Amino acid sequence: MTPNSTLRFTFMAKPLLLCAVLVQSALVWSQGLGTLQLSDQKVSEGFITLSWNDLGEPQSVTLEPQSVTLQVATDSEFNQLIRNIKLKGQTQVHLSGFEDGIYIARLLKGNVALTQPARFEVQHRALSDAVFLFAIGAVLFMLLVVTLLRYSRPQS
Amino acid sequence: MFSAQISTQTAVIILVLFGIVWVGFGWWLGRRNRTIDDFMLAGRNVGLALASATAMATWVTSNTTLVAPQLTYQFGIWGMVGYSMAALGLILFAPMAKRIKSLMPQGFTCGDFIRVRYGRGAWYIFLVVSFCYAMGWLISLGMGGGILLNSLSGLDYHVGMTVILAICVGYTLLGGLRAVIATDFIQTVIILFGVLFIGYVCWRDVGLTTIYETVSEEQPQLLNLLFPAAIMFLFNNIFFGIGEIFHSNVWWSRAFAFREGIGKRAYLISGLLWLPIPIVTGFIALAAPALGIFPPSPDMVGPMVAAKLLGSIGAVFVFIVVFSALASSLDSLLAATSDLLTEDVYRGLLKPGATNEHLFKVSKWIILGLGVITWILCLPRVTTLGALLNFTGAFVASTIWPIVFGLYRPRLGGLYAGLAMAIGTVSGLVAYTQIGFYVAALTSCLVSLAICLVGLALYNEEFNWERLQRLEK
Repeated sequence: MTPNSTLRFTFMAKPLLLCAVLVQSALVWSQGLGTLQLSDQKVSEGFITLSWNDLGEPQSVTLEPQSVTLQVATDSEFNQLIRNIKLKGQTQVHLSGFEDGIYIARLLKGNVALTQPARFEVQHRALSDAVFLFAIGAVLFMLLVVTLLRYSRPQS
Repeated sequence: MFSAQISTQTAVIILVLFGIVWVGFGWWLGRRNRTIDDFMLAGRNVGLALASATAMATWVTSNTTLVAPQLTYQFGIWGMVGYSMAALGLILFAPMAKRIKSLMPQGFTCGDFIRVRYGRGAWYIFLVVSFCYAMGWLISLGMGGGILLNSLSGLDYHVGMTVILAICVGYTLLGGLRAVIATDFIQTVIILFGVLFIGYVCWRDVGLTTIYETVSEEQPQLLNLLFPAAIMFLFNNIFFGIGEIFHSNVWWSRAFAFREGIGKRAYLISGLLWLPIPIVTGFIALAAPALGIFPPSPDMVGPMVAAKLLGSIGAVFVFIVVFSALASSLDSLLAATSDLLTEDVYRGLLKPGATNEHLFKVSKWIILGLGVITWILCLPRVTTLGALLNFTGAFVASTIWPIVFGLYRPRLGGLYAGLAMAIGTVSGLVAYTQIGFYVAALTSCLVSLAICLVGLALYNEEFNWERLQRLEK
């Protein structure tokens, strides 16, 4: 590229490129908010994976990995925030350790919502069922240990 | 994805260096292999230090370095404790290793035991169970290698997976079990120091108080000792681990390879040494929220925390530790599965009159073949293979009681042992699909025990232990 052509590029191509980016952005933004996908609507283990592809943002012109905020709240107005997480360069996140309840999640960039709120419910399994299985496991395990100890005793 | 990654160039350099060192070491060790006993069982003369190291290193798989943090991140304290309880498999196998060696001093595989002890019907069922499990584990290790190298360094999945498979096949092929055990010893040292160092840095830089406060605020269920799913998971994981060890030729071949009187102590030491590793690798996952790490996928939480704590050097460190963990399991599984196929399928079913020299060559071809099959099955990068490994819990847990009773009680017959494995597996699979993965192994083990007890009550013939000494056909 000669010095003249570089100059032409600087004065002509850059503004054109900028216009293209703005037009594309406007088109994408006008399509509305993206969707936050959930691995499950109702979870019984307290963990969930949230993913997003279409953020309504021109991904192709984003040179830096974009930084977004994921909010999880117990109310639809997002006043009672449970999580407020900054994420960079991710299109998926796995969250764990939730207690029983109904949760609403959304993705933001700055103060602008990128996704529709997504609702999921956490309802852990009944403790009585868990204790029942635990007891069966414990008995079975004790039986195995006792059997091995008894059988592997040195014989006279 | 990571705050600190290593360049693809660095990853390639490390892989090439490891490849040259491991394969060269395998060749050097393999020079003394003259017979099939040398190749498959390291001359049946492995001492205590190497024996303990190889048992421990083999049990530290990619699962220990990736899944233990994952389970802690998902199930909290119980996830961490539950995973570490897999050490019970090694500890409980200790007395059995002694019994195996004394019953079958000239034995080659666990298949030999099932065939002589229970007859051909039970043996076929056992071979299906064992082979399904071994292939599932092999494929998950190959895939795990490719995915991890790709995540840490950006190295193409197929390249990473191919290289790690090629290195392990290379030195196993050249050196046999002797090379597997010797490399396991070095890999054990790397894994132990690596994991302890990462745990120490986590404790020093983040601190227990910060970790506790952040987790109790952001992930309160993880500290709840009455977390239902975690409680359900605990014993299922214990029986899965016990089933994996009790039935697999990886552990039986070592029991045969260890010098007389070594097996029991070696398995006890390795179990006790292994016990704290998932606690440490799991503990660092609890530091994730305090460090602002929220992984895209739960199995990436361990490497992400380590990379964040140690910076770019940490990523290299994690790379080497996980590479060692993967290699130490892959090589053992290749060698043990090849033994099972050579001895049980080739000699047992296809060529009963094959000489030892012929089997020596065949076992090398089988290692190569297993490597190629694993490579082909790893190519599509089927993401559900992790689930497949859990699926195998139903298979392996069904073998626990037939093996325990088979080793110690002369009155359990082949019909009941075979039924226990078959019906136990089917019940486990039904529970897996109808209830959840966390009950598959438990159900399988319970049903299998019930059938074995019926067999012990009804069957009156007594097995003659000398048949095992003679390894009757």
